[in-house]
Amino acid sequence: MTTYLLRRLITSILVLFGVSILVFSIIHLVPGDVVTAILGRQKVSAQEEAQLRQQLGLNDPIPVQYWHYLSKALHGDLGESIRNHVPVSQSIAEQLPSTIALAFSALILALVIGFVLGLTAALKHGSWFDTLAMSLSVSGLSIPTFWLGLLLILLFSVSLKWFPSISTGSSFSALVLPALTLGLPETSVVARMVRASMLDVLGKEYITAARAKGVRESAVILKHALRNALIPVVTFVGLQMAYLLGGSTIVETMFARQGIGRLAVQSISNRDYPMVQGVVLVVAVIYVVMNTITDITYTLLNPTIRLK
Amino acid sequence: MFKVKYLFNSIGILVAFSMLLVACGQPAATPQATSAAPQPTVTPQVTNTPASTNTPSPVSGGVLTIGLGSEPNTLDPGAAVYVQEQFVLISLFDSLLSVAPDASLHPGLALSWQPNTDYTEFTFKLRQNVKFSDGTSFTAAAVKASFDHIMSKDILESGGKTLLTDHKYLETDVIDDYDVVVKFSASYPTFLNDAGRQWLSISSPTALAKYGTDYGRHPVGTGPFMFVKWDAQSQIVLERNPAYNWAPENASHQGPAYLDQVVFRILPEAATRLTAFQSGELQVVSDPPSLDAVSMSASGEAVVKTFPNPGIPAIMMINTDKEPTNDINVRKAMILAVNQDELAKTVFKSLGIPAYSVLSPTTWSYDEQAASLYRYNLDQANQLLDQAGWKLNSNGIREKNGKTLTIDYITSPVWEESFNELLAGYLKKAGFDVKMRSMDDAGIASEAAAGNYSMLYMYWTRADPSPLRILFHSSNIDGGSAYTRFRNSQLDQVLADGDTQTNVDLRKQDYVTAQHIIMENALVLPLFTVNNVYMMTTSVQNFTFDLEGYPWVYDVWLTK
Repeated sequence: MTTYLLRRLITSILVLFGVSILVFSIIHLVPGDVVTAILGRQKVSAQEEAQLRQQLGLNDPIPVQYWHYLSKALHGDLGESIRNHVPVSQSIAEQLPSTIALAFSALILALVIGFVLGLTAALKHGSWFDTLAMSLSVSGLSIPTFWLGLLLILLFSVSLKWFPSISTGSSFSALVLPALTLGLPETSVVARMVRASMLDVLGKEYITAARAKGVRESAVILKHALRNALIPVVTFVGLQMAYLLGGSTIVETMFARQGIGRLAVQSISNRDYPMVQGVVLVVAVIYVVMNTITDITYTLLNPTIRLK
Repeated sequence: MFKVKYLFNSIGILVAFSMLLVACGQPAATPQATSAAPQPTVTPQVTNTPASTNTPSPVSGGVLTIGLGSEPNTLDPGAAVYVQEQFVLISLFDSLLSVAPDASLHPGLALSWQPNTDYTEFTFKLRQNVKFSDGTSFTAAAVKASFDHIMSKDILESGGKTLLTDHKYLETDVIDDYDVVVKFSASYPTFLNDAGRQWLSISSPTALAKYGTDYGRHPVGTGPFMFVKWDAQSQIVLERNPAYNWAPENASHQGPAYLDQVVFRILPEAATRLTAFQSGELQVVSDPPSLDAVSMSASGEAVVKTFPNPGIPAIMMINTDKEPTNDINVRKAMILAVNQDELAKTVFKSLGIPAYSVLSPTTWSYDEQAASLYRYNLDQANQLLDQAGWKLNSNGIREKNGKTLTIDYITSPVWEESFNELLAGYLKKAGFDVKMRSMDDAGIASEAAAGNYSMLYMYWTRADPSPLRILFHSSNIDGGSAYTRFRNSQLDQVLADGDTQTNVDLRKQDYVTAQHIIMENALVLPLFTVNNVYMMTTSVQNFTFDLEGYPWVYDVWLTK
């Protein structure tokens, strides 16, 4: 177990190292000179151009630049925005809580509703409920986010005036509509996965054996079936959490929420390279961490994995 | 040399304008600008006028939430460039002077002012008993600190910095607490007008020292509202300054503002601004979708107020240096072929305002006659092209000596010019072949510098015609923005004189002549006047604009 964890952690660190090289390279991969790219149509004096070059640290050899970048990043210094001179880490820290609140509420919504729907559908396989739940989940998956969000706004904000359409902060009422918009497609996926996985496990011989031994049905389902059926769902949830924390740009934009996804898009359109680098790095770290956590959770659910 | 940077900001993304890059400004900057104005009277001018029985009396209280399309970069007036910044700054800060919508000068933080004869030194007598919202007293030291701050190394570039650097700012001399002299080494005849704008408004010296480079996120002024907080990408919150007792005399009331709070919500999506307005979360929406604004206003659900931007309307600058547009008849045919009225109404519905000249009608020195030279006339356009030897081929495109009548139009996807196709359609009817090349800013810059285009899109919001020099003086053809590449000594002479002329009548004559030369030579294809549109609930009262279209929130009140 310890060896497995150690190996997993070392892999994660190597991945992060690779990510940092990629993120660092962004500024060098821009076609042409990055300073020209930033300045665009603007015409500034040679002195100002030199100052910007200096500010970006572009005069040093590339390995030296990378070293500076890495050592600063490890100390939490991701540089400052070219656009408004606010430290990148500060901007990310301002935007991240809103994204986390949204991601968690969307995921909790997806898990609760998805589990209830999926489990019930599996247990009442072939019933009218099963058909209804699965049809609903297909609709949930097929409706594009921007359309769903717009419908929710028109119904709950414009007509009924129950919830705000432009939400600030992480209060319940501010989160309802964005979390629904973001969470409904996830709910559908969770429901379908739980159902399929449960049906698969319920057909296994050890379940029949457990039942034959006279184990109570509730114990069969919760202890024997669900635990094994959870593995694919955990993988999904882990990856989805990382995805949601990476910022759901469309939902953040639509509800005018603060968030890291909007920050990324805004920075890209502003050619604010330090900010883009910072956001990409933070999102990559989130992905790696979530993946590692997911892998570790597996081993707790299914001991055979850690033996491989 | 001026900086083209500001120019491109202004033409690109409908943001930065009202740029003053050269020694130019409001017409009122004349010798009679000196004024020993009395203390403003404390009589409310709109409030409690017994004659108007229909007008309800203003009430205090309430929160005004305004939906803005873009977020400021800074709230430091000295570092500001963009429209969305001035939108907020106007409520937070006061300037030395106050410029009324009719461009007349009134006392602001300065009670009186006196320029020297060559407009290089300006002596101000300051208002007493004024406090910044952090408790600092407003004195001459604040004026010096604010101007020195603009010139400091902390600020690389800004609107204010361009103004001060272009006129070679020397120093601010503090004579005593309430007497101060601002000195330039170049003549600056329009300084008093600029001193009335947001870019040169006065910051608290205590706050400038305390926050340093972070001041743009902690602004402290003497304005009618005080800064509360700025949640990036979300909102900027201001609250009433209860001590405010120094409103300019041209305001419609005195004393503290009516509103408790003003909240600027940052809502880049027009659809989001619209639904938030419909759900009652916003009281004012800037730049709403035209169709919705028109229909909601017609149904009485909303009030729409517009402010046609002064300055240079949306135009195409035609390249006079390149075939086929080097022929004046081709250029005239282009102007005649476009139905501006229909174009503006199609794109902006009833809010569209067609443009017929190089200046919009609300600009000082606008000349009606120059604007009457061309009206849509397809027959006349065809006739001119026939005379010029351009014959229609079987594809409906004109040809001459084996060459087609091609208009090379470089455009940017960022501009989202909904009129592009429409414009191309009009030109096509006269036998032009419009080739649109969409490229990014860097691409446009290099093509523009090389003269590789037939026409280029431009607009520039400014109450004064001074940007004409930047766009049409032949010294700006190479390395500048004189994209029509037209050389004419008389045009150069009047544009240069307009920059330094202190006599209002002579200066006006300069710009009238310039408008005539530009239009007679068909240098530009006018399209429409850029119109600031605000949609608001019926509860919003007394929503007015300053001379460049910024909402003057101080006088706004909400019916209960």
